[in-house]
Amino acid sequence: MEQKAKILIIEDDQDVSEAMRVALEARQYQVDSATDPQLGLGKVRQWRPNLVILDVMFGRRQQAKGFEAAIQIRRDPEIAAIPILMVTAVNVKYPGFNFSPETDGEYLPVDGFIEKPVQPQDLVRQVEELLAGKTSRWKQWPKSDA
Amino acid sequence: MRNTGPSSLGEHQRTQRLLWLIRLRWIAAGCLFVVLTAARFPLGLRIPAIQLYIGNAVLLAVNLAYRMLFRRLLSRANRFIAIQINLDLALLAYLLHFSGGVENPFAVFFVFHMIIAGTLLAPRSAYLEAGAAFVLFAVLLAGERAGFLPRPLVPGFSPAAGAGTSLSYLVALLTAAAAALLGAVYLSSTIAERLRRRDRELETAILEKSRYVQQVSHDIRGSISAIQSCLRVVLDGLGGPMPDGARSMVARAERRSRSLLEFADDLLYLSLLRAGEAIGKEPASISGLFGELALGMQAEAQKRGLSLVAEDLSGGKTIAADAEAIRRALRCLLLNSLQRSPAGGTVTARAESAPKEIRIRISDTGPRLSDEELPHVFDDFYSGETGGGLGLAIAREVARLHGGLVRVENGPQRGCAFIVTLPS
Repeated sequence: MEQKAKILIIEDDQDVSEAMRVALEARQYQVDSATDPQLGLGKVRQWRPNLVILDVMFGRRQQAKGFEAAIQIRRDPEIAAIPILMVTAVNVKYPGFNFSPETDGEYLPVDGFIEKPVQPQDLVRQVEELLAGKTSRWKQWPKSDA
Repeated sequence: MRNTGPSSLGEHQRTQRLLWLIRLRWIAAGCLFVVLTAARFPLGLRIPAIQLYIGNAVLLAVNLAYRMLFRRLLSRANRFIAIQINLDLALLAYLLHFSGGVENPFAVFFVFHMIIAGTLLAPRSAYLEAGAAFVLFAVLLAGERAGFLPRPLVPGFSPAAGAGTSLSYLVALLTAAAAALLGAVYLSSTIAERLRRRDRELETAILEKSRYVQQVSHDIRGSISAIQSCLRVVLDGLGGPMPDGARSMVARAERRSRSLLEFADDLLYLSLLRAGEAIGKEPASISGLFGELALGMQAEAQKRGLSLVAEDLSGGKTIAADAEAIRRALRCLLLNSLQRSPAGGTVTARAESAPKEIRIRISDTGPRLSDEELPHVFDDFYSGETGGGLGLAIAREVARLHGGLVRVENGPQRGCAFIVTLPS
């Protein structure tokens, strides 16, 4: 069977990562994963996936390393065009850290958001759309405040 | 040392303190009028009525001015209170002088002012007020004794001429006055400081508890979220084929984990509200929120065999609100009413505009609430026969943070109505 696009999942919760992997592999996507943004960035540069699924909060201390990773991808011309699907716990305001995809999302260089808990059908639909080049919202990034 | 005077307080507390002081002064002015009138008529004392009633009128007039100015001077509450106390001291000295001289039983009222200063001002400012009161008392005493401030004698009330002229008496009088003034400030400011410290400790404890709950619910949420993601993959058949019996059990587990996730969400949200982290106010249209929500809940109503009627009579009024918080609160109330109503019933949500508020009334056709249940409906983890969880507690907290309130009342024959009032 012909293998479809390559997808890299950067997510520190290995169960969530595995659930996404199974859902995507069932659709014949090639999937690899990384549990840390730095390892993930290395894999993006080496493996050159067609899409990156990126979590926001990492580690026990719940640091928003996902945003920085997204910006690093966009700043590297070799990998800047790879679409990013960001995984967020929407409606959840982390202690001392508020983020809302509807408003703050406009300022982030990512192509789409997917909510946790991840619904496989929603994940597959968004992945298909992004790979078909249906959204390219980050190209307006950085959006000016004016 | 932290400044414990009013400037370190929140706007609400500063408002309360200023209003308290103004209220006290209305009472004092009222009592003064009664005492003056009683002294003059039933008791027949020959007091200098014009000067004393003028003093009374000035007290009323300045208090009226304070009441009108207090919002503008709220940011400088500390200084505003000090000015008020200084003027009060001057007025008291004036009234004492004209009611027969500063050596007067009513001179004890200086102590009241010191208690007020000790309670409302930072200790240093309160001791300065004690100094000011003592100087005023001593100057008036010296002036009256030396004759350059002739006191009007009130026959039958003022001490007889020549009474207490010895130096030792005057020294004792001044010493007693100084001790009373300083003692009153010391005691009141010490007690006030202890209470304020206790308040701060309590606030810190509540905040720590809230952060603990946030951390726990956040961690729980993360794990249930992972469980949900895995179960959804299995239920969608992406992990391979599964016998019907197993699928049914996994579906049960998925449903349970979903409701647990909603509970963890509610717990996290409620603790954020209580820690004051989740509210940001911007102009929001109640009509927009209301319409969107009523539409979004139609599917839920249909699933339960209920009709959901939404009437928006708010006239597009805008209020300063956290739209997400209001949406969440209304959703909790609507969901509660849908859960309470038996199939075939109706839930009616109506938004109305009143002069200074917006009222949203959500009534259902469920059972009435018992008298025992009514006061506890909005409690955390309230789980009577007809409700449960944290939804109603969230609704109450959101309303409170917007300066509004939410209440419940039973219908005449059946059902009950949840009413949210938000200032506009």
